[in-house]
Amino acid sequence: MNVTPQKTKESKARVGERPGGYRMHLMLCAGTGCVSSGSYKIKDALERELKKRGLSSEVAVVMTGCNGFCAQGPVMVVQPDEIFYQRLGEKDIPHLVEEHLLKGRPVERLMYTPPAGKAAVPKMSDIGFFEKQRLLALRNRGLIDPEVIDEYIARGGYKALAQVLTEMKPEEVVKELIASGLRGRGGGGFPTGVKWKTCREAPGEPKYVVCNADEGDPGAYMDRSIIEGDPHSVLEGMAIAAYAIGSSRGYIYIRHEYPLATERLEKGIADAREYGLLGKNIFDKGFDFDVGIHRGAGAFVCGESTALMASMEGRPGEPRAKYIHTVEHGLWDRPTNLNNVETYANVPPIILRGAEWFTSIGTGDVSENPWGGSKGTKVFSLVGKVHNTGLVEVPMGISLKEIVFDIGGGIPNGKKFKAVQTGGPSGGVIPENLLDLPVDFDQLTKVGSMMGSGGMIVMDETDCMVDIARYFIDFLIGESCGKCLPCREGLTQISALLNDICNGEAKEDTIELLEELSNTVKECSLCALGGSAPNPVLSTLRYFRDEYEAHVKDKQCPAGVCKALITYSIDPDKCTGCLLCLRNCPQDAISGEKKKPHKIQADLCIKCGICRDICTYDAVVVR
Amino acid sequence: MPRLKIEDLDKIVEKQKKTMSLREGAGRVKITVHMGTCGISAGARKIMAAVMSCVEKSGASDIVITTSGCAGFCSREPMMTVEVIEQAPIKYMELDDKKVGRIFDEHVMKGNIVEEYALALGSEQAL
Amino acid sequence: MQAQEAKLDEIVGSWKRDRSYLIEMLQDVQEHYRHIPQQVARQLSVELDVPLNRIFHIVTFYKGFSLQPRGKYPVSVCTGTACHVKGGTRILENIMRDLELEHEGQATRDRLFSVESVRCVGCCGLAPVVTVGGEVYGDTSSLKVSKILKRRRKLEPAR
Ligand SMILES: Cc1cc2nc3c(=O)[nH]c(=O)nc-3n(C[C@H](O)[C@H](O)[C@H](O)COP(=O)(O)O)c2cc1C
Ligand code: SF4
Ligand code: SF4
Ligand code: FES
Ligand code: FES
Ligand code: FES
Repeated sequence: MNVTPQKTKESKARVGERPGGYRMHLMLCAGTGCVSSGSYKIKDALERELKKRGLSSEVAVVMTGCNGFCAQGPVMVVQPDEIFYQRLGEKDIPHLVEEHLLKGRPVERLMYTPPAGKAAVPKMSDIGFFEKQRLLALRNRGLIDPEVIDEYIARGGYKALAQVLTEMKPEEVVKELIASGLRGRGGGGFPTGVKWKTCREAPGEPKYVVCNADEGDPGAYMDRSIIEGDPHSVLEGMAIAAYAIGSSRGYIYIRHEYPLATERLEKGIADAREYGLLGKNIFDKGFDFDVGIHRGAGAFVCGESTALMASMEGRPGEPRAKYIHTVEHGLWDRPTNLNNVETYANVPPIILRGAEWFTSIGTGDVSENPWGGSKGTKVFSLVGKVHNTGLVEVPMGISLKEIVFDIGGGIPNGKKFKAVQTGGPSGGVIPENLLDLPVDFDQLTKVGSMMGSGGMIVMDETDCMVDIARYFIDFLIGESCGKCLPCREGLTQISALLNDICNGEAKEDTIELLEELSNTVKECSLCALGGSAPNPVLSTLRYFRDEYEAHVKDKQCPAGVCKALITYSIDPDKCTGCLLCLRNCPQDAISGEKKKPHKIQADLCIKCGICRDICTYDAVVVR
Repeated sequence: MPRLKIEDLDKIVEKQKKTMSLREGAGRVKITVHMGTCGISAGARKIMAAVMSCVEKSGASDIVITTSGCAGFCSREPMMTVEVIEQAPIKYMELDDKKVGRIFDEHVMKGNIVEEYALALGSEQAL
Repeated sequence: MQAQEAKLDEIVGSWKRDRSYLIEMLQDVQEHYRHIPQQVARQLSVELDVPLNRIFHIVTFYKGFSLQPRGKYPVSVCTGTACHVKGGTRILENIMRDLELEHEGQATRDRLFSVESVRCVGCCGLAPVVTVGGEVYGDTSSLKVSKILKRRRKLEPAR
């Protein structure tokens, strides 16, 4: 196989290159989220204004990867003061440059204000969202320009690779990883060191090292953020893995929805090659390793190991039977080590600081049994109905409550917390009475969910659990490769039953049937996609059975989501007669006069929800 | 770019040290130039330039320079504060390039406070 | 036709004619033509000596390919979990109705837009998210998207 052809970009001017350096760095976020909220416009505005004020030689603008606080974007941290600015607009910039950068008076109105408090919080590390985080995989977050390899090296990068090549035998690296208790961050939580050992000992040459950057969980973006913000951490982790298992060839399988991440990887690979950190005879130690990129083409099942490898060979991504292990028979039937992005990113710090340090973070005891606990940290994508949405990295064992309320700032709009969904389409929901649960691999599995790759979706009282279950099942129907019957047909039938429930057409025994069918699919499917697909149904049934029953028996959707069971109406006490909804209703279902309460004509209404989105007085009610 | 040897990693770390200590807020000395309206009209920006060129010439990588607002002593501007880690901050007043040079050599580099230019010892925490 | 052949040659060449990059080649074809033209699929099958049914298997298996031309500005409405709970699925329905489209992937009559759902574009913090011609819009609503599309359409030269 060939190496992916590289489109190398021209390298840009480096921040460190001005003799004597700058007195201030404006660390402006250039992650996908902030870019979409306009960070490049902010960059231009800043540079214009700095020039105008003659500050260009004193203050540098540095574009970083995602800071995790994407909902507040564009965000910027001014160093050395560590002042955190958010939601910057172009028109804020002249004031900001004059006040803070010139006169040293940070601008309060552009800082973060916590939901409950009144006072703005100037320093990044004092903001609740950042305070409880512990950054290992994201150790360089916001501190480096991801496109400048020297900045990665400056933060200790490639030192771990140097260390294993000079001081450690491959077996010792494997041993260190096993001792660290690191478990795969891609979903299954398989001990990484054990996998490396098996692959190392598997017969067959050559061996491959593959990075799973398919990130299929819909609603999560940890891996994208790591690659965009710190591509070399993944490359270094892969190189160490390659040394440990005796491979010289690596591939990264990345989803095609991630163009920016792919670009950063391409640049990272090109720079590492120029430095001789990838390629032949790295550090003159006789170790060869290089990495190529494969782009996925949009299929969730391709995150599954055998399907991923089929896809890399240029075939449709259909899984093989479970008893064939990819560590022994993987890519081109050769021994292949597959790990997730975040797993690789955790490797260099484990080597540099030692397994003992790593095991001091997290839960359980892994000294005898690598499955005995959950060590280190986990990055979660905290999204949904929570005040501070974004990416958070927390030590294993932290409680859900701390994540949702201390870091996430609780539920917005005065709504009530209902559940957290973890583990993506293979996971489940966790209700309020389990909020004190310490988050680790085993605890989440125990309550019927799973760690998964790190999606954490917070739901409030307006989210219907039956709808959520149907949502995941429908997602998986679309993604099932169709090779095996229980998954292909079973999921379709489960979906039909759920549809009946949502449409108020379910019979008394529908729920039981649903349960039975779910268990069958779970047991009989070929790959883990089907095997875990019923989890969202089973776990919502476990904790929210009454909500299912309300749909079946009372023909009601308590959360007000299922279209067949709800009606839209206007609360005459709240309506001010502003005409807004009337003008925007696609069905002309709303009638009324200016300054008089409006009315919705139920037979015309198609329940599109536009009126509710748009009403500034919260007058549209759903029942 | 040449191929790296293991020693080269440390060289890059050294070269980037200033950049990184700035971002990690890990300087040994923090110099604050006061840039209120009157500070600027009294020449604070020239003082800033002088400080930056001193740092540049010394090659030191552990010095952090910031600005702050009005210090409340308009008549004594331009001013700056030097804060060596774990020591009380010292405020210097009525500065010019030459004084900055001396303060830099004596206080910042060697740790000896230049008392004749200093305003007051230790009373600045409130700023 | 000749231009088509030359283009395909260029694409195949850029992947060093290596069959294991078939998916990547198809991605380049998709990007260029905004769909996989039958002709090109046939040619590719001959060039690389892979069975045509394998190519169609791939094209229909992966969501990233379409057999119908997509619009000049593909509109992707995110229906990932984070966007779903914030109303993404409703936005999808509303936009399709607005543009009078019957099924996903179909292009509007003026070929300007085509609409489809995507499962997460990786900006879940900004949910609900819609992308138009590759540009990401966060924190949207049905009405906001309608406005974006209207503005886009106005900027197009009349034809
Ligand atoms: C249907 C399905 C989808 C998966 N998707 C992903 C994914 O998107 N990313 C990932 O890293 N692992 C995914 N996995 C898990 C991988 O198969 C594999 O276990 C993992 O990449 C191994 O790496 P780790 O040990 O470092 O976690 C998926 C598994 C299944 C069954
Ligand atoms: S937008 Fe709200 S307040 Fe205005 S007329 Fe409609 S329901 Fe009433
Ligand atoms: S839900 Fe939609 S169709 Fe029904 S009244 Fe509101 S805007 Fe009109
Ligand atoms: S993209 Fe800027 S904080 Fe995530
Ligand atoms: S502005 Fe300088 S002391 Fe007031
Ligand atoms: S769920 Fe919509 S961007 Fe991730």
